[in-house]
Amino acid sequence: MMDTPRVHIGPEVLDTAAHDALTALVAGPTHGAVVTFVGQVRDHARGQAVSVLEYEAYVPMALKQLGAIADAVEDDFSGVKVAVHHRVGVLGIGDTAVIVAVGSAHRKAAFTACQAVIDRLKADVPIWKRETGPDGAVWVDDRP
Amino acid sequence: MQKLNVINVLYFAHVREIVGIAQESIDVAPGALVSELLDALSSRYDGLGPLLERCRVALNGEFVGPEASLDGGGELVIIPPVSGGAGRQP
Repeated sequence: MMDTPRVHIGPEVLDTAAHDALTALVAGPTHGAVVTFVGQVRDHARGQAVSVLEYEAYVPMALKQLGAIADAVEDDFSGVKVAVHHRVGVLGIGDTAVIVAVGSAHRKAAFTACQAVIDRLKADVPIWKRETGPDGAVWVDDRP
Repeated sequence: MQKLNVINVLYFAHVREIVGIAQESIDVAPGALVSELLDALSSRYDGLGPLLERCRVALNGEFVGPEASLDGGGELVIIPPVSGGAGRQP
């Protein structure tokens, strides 16, 4: 992406170049600590093998929620900068699904803010995943 | 006679698999609430009711409660539980 947006949801591969672009968005002379969270597709879940994972989003709202989470975390941690990209579509094992990058003057706020972003994303952003394993495909629903 | 409100309902993930379609347009009477539309959908689609108890609802891109008004129409989305990480089970 030429001009990397702060938040993005799309089918584009999240590779090293994407990671670098997100890092660059939140880094800078005043931001000496950069923490990134990279979420990749795991080969198992709930005791079952996983071969393929498909992510689906209600994109307009998910983008709005992501932006609101980034704003809120930047408000909560003064001076922190946040960028998040989430991939949608069919992903294989080891593919990157999400990258969160947080820049801060100091490491403690960067770590804490990065965790806050991914935790809120998992709770409030309308993105769903469908796991395909030996028994077929199922939409992941983390309630009992 | 007052004009009906047109609600465009979008279905995703588990919910779409139960209802079998990705979206539909539903006319509701003036003054109708989100809860009334959800009740109607539960009656229309087998198996949707139990899942709805664990879903949230967004109207025009904002989470709303069951008592929200549908006056003005717009886009209603039933939001199934989102993807989570490792899940809540051990």
